[in-house]
Amino acid sequence: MTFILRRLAALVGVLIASSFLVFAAMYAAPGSPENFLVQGRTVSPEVLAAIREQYSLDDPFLVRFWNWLTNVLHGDFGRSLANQQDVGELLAGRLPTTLMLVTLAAIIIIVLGIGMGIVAGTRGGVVDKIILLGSNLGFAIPTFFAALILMSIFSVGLGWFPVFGSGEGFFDRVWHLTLPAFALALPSSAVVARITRTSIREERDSEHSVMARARGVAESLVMRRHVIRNSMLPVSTIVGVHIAGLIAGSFVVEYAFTLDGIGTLLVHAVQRKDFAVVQAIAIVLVAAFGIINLLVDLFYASIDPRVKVETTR
Amino acid sequence: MKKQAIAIASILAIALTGCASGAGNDTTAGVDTNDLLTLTPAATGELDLVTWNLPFGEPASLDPIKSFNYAENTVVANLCEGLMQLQPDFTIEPGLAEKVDTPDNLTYIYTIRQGVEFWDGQEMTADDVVYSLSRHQNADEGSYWAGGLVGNIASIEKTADWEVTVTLTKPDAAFNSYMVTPVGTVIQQDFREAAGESFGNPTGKVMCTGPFSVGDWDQGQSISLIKNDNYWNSDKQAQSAQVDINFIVDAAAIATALDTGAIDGSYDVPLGALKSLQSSTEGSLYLGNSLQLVAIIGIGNGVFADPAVRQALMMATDRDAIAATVFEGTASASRSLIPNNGWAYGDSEFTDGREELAPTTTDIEGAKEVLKDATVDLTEPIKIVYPSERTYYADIISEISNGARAIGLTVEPAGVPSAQFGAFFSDPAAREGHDAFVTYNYMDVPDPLAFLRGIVGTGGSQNYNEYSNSTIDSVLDEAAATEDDGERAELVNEAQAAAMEDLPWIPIVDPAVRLFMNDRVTGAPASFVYLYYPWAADLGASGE
Repeated sequence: MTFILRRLAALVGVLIASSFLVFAAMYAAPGSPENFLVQGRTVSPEVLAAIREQYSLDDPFLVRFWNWLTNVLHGDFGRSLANQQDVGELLAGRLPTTLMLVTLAAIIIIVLGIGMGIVAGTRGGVVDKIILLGSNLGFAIPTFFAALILMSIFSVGLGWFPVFGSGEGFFDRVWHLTLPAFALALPSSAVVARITRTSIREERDSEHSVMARARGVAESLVMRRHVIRNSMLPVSTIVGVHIAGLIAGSFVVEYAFTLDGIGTLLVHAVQRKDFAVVQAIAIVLVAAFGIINLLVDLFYASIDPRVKVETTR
Repeated sequence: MKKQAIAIASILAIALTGCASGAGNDTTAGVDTNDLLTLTPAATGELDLVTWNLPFGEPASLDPIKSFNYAENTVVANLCEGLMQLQPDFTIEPGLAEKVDTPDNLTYIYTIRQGVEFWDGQEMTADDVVYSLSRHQNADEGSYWAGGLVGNIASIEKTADWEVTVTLTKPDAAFNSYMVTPVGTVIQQDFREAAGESFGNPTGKVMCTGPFSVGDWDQGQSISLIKNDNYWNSDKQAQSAQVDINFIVDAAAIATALDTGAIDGSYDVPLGALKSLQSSTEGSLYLGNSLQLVAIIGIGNGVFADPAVRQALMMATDRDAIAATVFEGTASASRSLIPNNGWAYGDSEFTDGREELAPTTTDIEGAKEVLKDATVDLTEPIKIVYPSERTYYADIISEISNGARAIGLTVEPAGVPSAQFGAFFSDPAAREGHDAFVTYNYMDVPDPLAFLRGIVGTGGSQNYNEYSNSTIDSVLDEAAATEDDGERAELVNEAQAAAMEDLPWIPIVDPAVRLFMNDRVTGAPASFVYLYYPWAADLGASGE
């Protein structure tokens, strides 16, 4: 229990440090927010001054960061400079799409990646070769290109899936997000499949598996108890890292399929130096990373008692 | 091995020349700006739903005073109306004002139309008009249109129940044209005051009088326009019950959505989508009369600061080739800084004035001759900045570079991220240390006086290299004070000829409007009026 509390405290520290860094980077980036706002139109100096005042852009850096931090502690993420909207409200509208996209992609990575890896690792022969080839391909194809190919085959060619938008209602959303999730999950699935395969190979030939077989334990039981269970340790780490990375990588897919997620929002916000929005999304990304890593560690502990002993001491 | 490489290269060369000659068998490589469309076939029936796309992405706000670019204006044009209205043929007609009287060149008396209702049923009054126009003068409202033309307004007053009088500080013949833009757009005062900070955003939205009202705004995805059944102008009722405008920005995704019929139409289809759309069986690509210009803007530094260099560079650049290849034949070489046909008055004068300018054909020998007058160090490279995500700009600069090489100059493209590029237009600090940057520009209103004034007038809103020529300034001022259209056009021609000598900008091509519509729908105007004219109201069934 203290293990979890300690990890959560560390996460809060990381959140504050990273938000400070993001704030500083935005502050240092060239161009002023009010100039991006007016999109290069020549506006009277009075208007620019009024905008600067409305958003306290003239306050010193540390004052602005402190104000932002204390507001966040009160649950106020500020107002978007670009469209004068409450940032909490803005994110609430965008998060469901990204969360669902990432969840679907995570399921695909786990089912497809681990599944393929287990099949390749235990079967061998032609099946193994085909899966190896497939994972090489999957890893080599960039996400945006995968998006294009999937779209041209399944949306344009076969007409099975819509070409843009994220849908309304649960099932419509799943239908709209299936292709984007596949495009997003493809490279990670390939990596996970390869690592699972290698890991299973190693465990299959490990001493305790050989011993178990020698003692006359049934092959299927050896597979389940020893080989697959033990090989999941390295696999869970890599799956965790890749799922956490999905959130950051989702913007490419969101852009290609025109999804209303936080990825596209982040890109626009960075372009316009929309401080409050960038900060809020950075917080969400870092928090998601931290929480997923925590979950992976917990999972790790549950399948390897040695980890548990060390951490609860 | 080497032989093979040469063989491949020559096959490629043959293939490329084949393409080029296929694209333009006539003598002009690009499209002829005199052959462009104004309208598309009129709608023959009503539709329940039309889906459209906005390739420039989601509007940041629907507040008219914060609408000053493609994304915002293309949507707001269907919702909110001005005192005047731009027509597809670029003429200007009364809108929410029945008429305008100008007793002298400083006074504009607008008679406000009676019986016009906002979407909520409240009647529009002269107070709403005064309030709306005055918002530009209130710095706290943050109008992007403040300064320049608006800064010249001395007073805005209600002078009778249905009359609003605007007085200027100094004469400006282009002033009334701007009543078609958000400068003259009317919103409801009560609604604005009640909405507070959220006015114009997805929560607060707006309250106007146009043929459509705002429906659902699904952020990041689409915005719905809902037909206004009480629209005051019974001749111009919307032909579709609902128009959903999506925000797809990726060229490949746009091409796919249009080609599969998932989207019914779009203005400004990306150049990258043209190939597949030109051969689409789903619909047609229309090329419309435009007010747009692609140009290279001088910053006033380096080799490019010398007018002789700019003149020589323009003469050496094969702008017809740029129109034919980069724009796939949907643009024409620019003869002037004023896009062809970009005028609502003085047609014969402007046409004649244009004829007197140098032709657009490439002239290497002439360019070398002009370059002899240059006083700068010609061995220095000229770096032209462009937003690196827009690769077609690199293609344009590469063609300019070819011309430059032929006359002994070096031109290099310098890509910067879009976010940084935006600052070139607004932040002098960003421009510092660079020679030139590229622009896709448009005339706000079809008045060459206003456009030219912004580019070459001292302190003009688009005068990025601090160009200042007292002769041009006095001619422009004289034009602004001249009431007779023909005389004014002659004066603007004079300024145009001088500007084309000094070339603070090098005009490259006049791109046509690229409109794609599914066979199911028709009616949207083909010309460049969709920023200030309710184009979606004309969209309806094609009867096919």
